[in-house]
Amino acid sequence: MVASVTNHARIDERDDMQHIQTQRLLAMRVIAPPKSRLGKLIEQRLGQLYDELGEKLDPAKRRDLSTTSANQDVAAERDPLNVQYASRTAGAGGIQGRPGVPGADPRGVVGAGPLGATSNFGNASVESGKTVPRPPLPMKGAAPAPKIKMRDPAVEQAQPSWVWLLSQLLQTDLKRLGLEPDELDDIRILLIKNEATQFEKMQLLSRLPDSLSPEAVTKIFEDIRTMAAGYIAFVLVERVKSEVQAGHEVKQLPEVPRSVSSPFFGIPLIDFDPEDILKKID
Amino acid sequence: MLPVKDRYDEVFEIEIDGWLFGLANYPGEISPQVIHRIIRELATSFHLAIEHYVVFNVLQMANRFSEAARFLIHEQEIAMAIVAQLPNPGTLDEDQQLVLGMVIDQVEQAYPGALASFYNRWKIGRKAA
Repeated sequence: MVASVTNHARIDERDDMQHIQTQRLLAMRVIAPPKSRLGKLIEQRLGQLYDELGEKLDPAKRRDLSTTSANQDVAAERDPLNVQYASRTAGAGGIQGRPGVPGADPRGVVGAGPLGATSNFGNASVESGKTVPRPPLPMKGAAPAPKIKMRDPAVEQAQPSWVWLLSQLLQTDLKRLGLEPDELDDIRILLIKNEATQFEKMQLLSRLPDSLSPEAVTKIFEDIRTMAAGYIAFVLVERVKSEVQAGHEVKQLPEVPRSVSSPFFGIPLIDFDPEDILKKID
Repeated sequence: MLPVKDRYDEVFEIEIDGWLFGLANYPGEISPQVIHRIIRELATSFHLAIEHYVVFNVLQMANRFSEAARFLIHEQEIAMAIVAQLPNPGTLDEDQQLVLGMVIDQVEQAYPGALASFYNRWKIGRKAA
């Protein structure tokens, strides 16, 4: 009986660890995935967050927010909090709230895909409650577009933007997985890089900045390390010199900090004859 | 207060001074990635400092790094990054744990919740070990 309980506990612990590892792997895939996977994963997570938040919000207000048509069913289908509809249309939505971006992002900007044309997430001017979103353009032969209801600023403020949701994703989920601040920073940089790459494709950006290139970071880091090594060598030599001048006997040279020394520092060299080794092999 | 082993506090101080000198006098542009990379590189040194019973001031160090980096990163973020590089208490002996506790306590007092945020990481690390 005791053994059985222990085994169950071990299995639980193993499952727990596997779950954590899976989550970590998932998070790491979010960090550096193919672009389509990045969008899908984040949109999937955002969908879950929408679900969670949608339950907390007043359903009547949710319906009011998404109503751009007299047909309530259509409105419900277009509800930004309706994740099922969002998942079907993920990546297809335009970015109404981003002036200056020509056309729609085919990949669907992180979290913007499901928000579609009826959403105003990320639009600062609309969020402030001062402007009214543009009605859809009337098509030939179609019925006149219904009047759009004025949105309640209080409800607008209560609604989270996708940026907020994304920040929640980064701050809570990834932090809970035990990611370090620099890893969070990596994710932030990669998200920005992802955006910048799209701008580069659209020929709005001539090249990526150096701060987003890992090679450039390594080069700067090595330069700083060299300067640090020079400073430390200078200080250590001065210290030995002053001790000698003071008449103290220096029996052992001061230790060189490992972070600036070569990783091979301190490993003794071995004298060997390659011919001997070749003879032994034969 | 435990006595410092092998005068490692002096070596550690010179090491940090060296990195700060390099950072402050680098002529080009510095990004937050570089700062985090430096702090990651110093992980071994933090470990050695605790093994040699050096109670270093994380907040002061974070402030100096922030200043050397032209205040590009807030000192709180640097302090958290330093704490993230500290060794897992499960791998230390009792005296070293005491030193680690004294190091973290400063951060916890300045930024409450710092310890809790790293507790899960250490717990996972201990389980994996």
